[in-house]
Amino acid sequence: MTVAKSPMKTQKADGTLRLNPNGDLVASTVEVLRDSMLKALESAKIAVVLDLASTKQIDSLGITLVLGLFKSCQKKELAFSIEGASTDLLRVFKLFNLTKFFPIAEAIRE
Amino acid sequence: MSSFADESIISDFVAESREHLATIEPDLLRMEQEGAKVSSEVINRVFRAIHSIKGGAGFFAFEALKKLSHAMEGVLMQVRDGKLKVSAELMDVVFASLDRLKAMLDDIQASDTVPYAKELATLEAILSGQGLIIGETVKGREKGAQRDFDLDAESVRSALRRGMNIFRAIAFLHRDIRDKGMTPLAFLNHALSVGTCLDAFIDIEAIADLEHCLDQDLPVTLLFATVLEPDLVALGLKLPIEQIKVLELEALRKEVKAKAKGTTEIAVASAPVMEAAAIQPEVEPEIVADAEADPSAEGEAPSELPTSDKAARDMNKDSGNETLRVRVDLLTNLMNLAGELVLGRNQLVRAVTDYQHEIPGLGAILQNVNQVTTEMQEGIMQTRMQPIGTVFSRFPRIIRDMSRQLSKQIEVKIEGAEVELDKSIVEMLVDPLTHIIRNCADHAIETPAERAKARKDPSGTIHLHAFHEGGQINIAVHDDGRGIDAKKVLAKAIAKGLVTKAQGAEMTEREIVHLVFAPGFSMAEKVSEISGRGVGMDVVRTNVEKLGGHVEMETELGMGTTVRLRLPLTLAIIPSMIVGITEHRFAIPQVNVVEFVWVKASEVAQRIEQVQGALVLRLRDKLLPLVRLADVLGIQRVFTDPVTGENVPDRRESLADRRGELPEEPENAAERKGDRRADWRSDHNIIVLRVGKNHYGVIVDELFDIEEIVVKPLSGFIQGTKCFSGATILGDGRVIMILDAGGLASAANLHFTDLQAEELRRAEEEKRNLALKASRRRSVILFEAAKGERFTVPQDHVLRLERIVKSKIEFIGDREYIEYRGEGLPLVRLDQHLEVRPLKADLEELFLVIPKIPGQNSTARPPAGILISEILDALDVEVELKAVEFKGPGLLGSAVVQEHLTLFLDPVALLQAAGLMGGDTE
Repeated sequence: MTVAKSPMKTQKADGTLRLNPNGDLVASTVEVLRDSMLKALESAKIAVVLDLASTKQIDSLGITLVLGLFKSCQKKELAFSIEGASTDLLRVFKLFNLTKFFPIAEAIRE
Repeated sequence: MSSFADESIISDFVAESREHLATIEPDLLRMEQEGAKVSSEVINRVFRAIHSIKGGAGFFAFEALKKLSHAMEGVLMQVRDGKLKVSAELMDVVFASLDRLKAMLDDIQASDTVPYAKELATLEAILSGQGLIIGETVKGREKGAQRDFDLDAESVRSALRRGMNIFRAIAFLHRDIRDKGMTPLAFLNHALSVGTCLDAFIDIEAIADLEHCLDQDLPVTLLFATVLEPDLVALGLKLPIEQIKVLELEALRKEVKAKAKGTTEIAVASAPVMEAAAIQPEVEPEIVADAEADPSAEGEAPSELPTSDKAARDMNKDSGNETLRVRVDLLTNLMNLAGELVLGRNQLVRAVTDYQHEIPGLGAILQNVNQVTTEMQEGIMQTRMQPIGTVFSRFPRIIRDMSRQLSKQIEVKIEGAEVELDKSIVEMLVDPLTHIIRNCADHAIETPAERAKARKDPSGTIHLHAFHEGGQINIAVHDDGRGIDAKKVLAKAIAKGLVTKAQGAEMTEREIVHLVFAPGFSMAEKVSEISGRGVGMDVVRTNVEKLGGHVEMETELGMGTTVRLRLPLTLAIIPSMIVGITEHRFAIPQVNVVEFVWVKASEVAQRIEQVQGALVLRLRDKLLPLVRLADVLGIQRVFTDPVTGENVPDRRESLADRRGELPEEPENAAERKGDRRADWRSDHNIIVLRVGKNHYGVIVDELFDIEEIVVKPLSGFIQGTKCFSGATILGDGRVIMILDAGGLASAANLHFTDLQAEELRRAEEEKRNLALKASRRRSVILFEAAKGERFTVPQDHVLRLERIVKSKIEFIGDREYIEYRGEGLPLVRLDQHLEVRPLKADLEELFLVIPKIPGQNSTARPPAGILISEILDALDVEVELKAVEFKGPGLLGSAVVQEHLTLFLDPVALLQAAGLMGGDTE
């Protein structure tokens, strides 16, 4: 996957920052995404939602990135959750028991 | 929780709720399979069942049960109303909740201690329209530097019961996963193929913040159960051995036992996972109590089987019929009493039979007591019979869960669920069958991609079939998977030292495949990725044999495998044949008895022989291996000396050896004179026994009656004796041993395959002899050409015989013709091609032999006719042809037929030599 000009959409509403990466969380994208996330995180007030609706794949670095984001949220006392995870992503998160640390919502499937 | 509720009402509520849960599990599976197409009746049935449980729980104030069933009811209502679509993920939550409900019902008074928050939260999230939310908030979940594994006690108990090791494995996200070209999902799927994952986590404490996280190689810790040893686990997971650690099982066992009643969740604290690469394998994981556990709850040692499963089996399936709940211990007691009654009846009959004539009416009374006892015993046995479906019904769920884990499509078909077995057998079948089924799903059934490549339906099938046959219950588990490669099994067995190369070379394919039942075979099977089964199949065989059963396997590479269990209906009271050797008596279960054979002394030499040093009986053209029971059991054979009347040791090695001087028997002394084989004391009583597919004969001194014997288990110190399966008390009060047909064959070191090979050899020899005989037997036409010169041709080489008048023969050049069916038929004279005399010139009437050409139909024009002078006969002869001194085309040889030397001709070869075969043949 190639990273577009903006690797991630961000939305803010009622103190909740919504991060929506434009593609997969893999080695080729994580660094750009991390930089964007670092920037966006500065404006978060209450909660951060990582929306993975556009993400199909995640590799080891992608998981590290998600956990790094979660850890930064913890430090800033921001609630963190994931939404829109595909079945495969959900399976990875479940098998690693990440669901014990933060809520993960599956993508609503038609 | 209610304190005033009457215990028996609660007990009824629990029993009914368990019935509900057992009945809705198949319905839930159906809902998942059929999705939107599932009938509303199925959903309503599930809904009503959960609703009943909720109602009862509310009435008795079992809060946890009420809340969870209420949430389940809500979700099911949404499904029923079409507001929620059924998905595998949704069903995961529903099934997980169902398991929690079962756990609560297993100990209803402690139901509130069963952890259910996760399932409840997920169900409530679905109800509130948030979609499927799994997980909990971070708050309060971390416990400092230590991380607790959250384990389901049942999973641990199940793993321990199956003899699995529990491992902690650490894999680094980059070093062990990314650098080996795997995605995390692929790694986890791979790990799941090596064992059952009990828990996994990434140590949150080890993670830096977002800015620095990408430089870190985070460790993932897996806790999983498998039968493999650590080195093989490391190999399977592709991890360095130092990253694998076996957990202390004893501590886990104690923990599970202690908490069996109080809670179904335990926690195992692992060693703190430190910075990357700082693994500390020397730190032994510590077991700590879960915060949710009730420390005051008094634990009862868990039974061998999961309580929920027991509950399912304890249910009365026919809840709609008129039934009465009876405690199992009461039934067991009744069963024992019935056994004692049968023994008493046998003793009574034995004791008073002699007085029947002296006491009027005693015979009728005895008959009545006899019949009533038998009927009562059968009736009580019936109360303990349970349909095998109570075991089968658990498998669709297991397969459903495994299919999801293994990303396979597997369908379970069940047939004969209504077949009934004794409760004790049904219970003991759970483990072996579960083992087989898991093996089917895990190893035998291929992935959809593999199946598609092999041009199979992407969905595999496991077919469970129970049926009665020969007084036994047969359970067949068939899969349409990849089958077992006998070559690979043999190679692995040789590598493991289970058989030598030489032994392997002599083994049949069936014997090789059965090596998967050998102890110690399983682990190699798994790691070497030999297709098919093998993991722990020795456990299956041992368990089935303990039940007096037998297990067999048939496999076809690429097509599938069938494991067949043969089991007795009951273990308690069995009809048995009582046999004797000298003064000893033994019982042989009738289910093993095929027939009795009496070999008269005069027939011994013809019917009993030795094959490769072993005794065999020729029985209806089959070779039946024989064992002398006395020899196998180490009992000194004796016979009564006809002269002194004393019992003296019988030292005969061969059965055909005769005993000493015979006593005179005037009435037939003349017949027997000089023929000691007529002595009745040299006759042999042979009982043909069945062991699986094989039969063998046991030579005993005497055959007594068939009695219903009550099986008493053997004391511990003689349990290892493989020849005996138990003991019993005879009607005369004598304690005798029950023979184990399989153990006896094994103790006698019987080689059924050697005999099968010998039988095959003999059958082939017989076939050859028949073929040879057939080749000598011929149907021929006998004729003369010149006077006194006789010939034959095979009847099947002759199309027609025609009478002709010499004047009708015409010439074209040197060749003779005759009109035949409107065309000119060339004629051949034998003397033109063979060194025989010509036909007499003055014959007016001649005959034609018109040969039948192979492959030509009867309406085709024949190529030629052979002129002869006279047809003598059409007959069958059995002759051996001899070569003749002169050579000639079509001359097969000569033989004497009807006292005359006769030449045997092949007419087709003759016509070929005459150049008359043309292109007429096909």
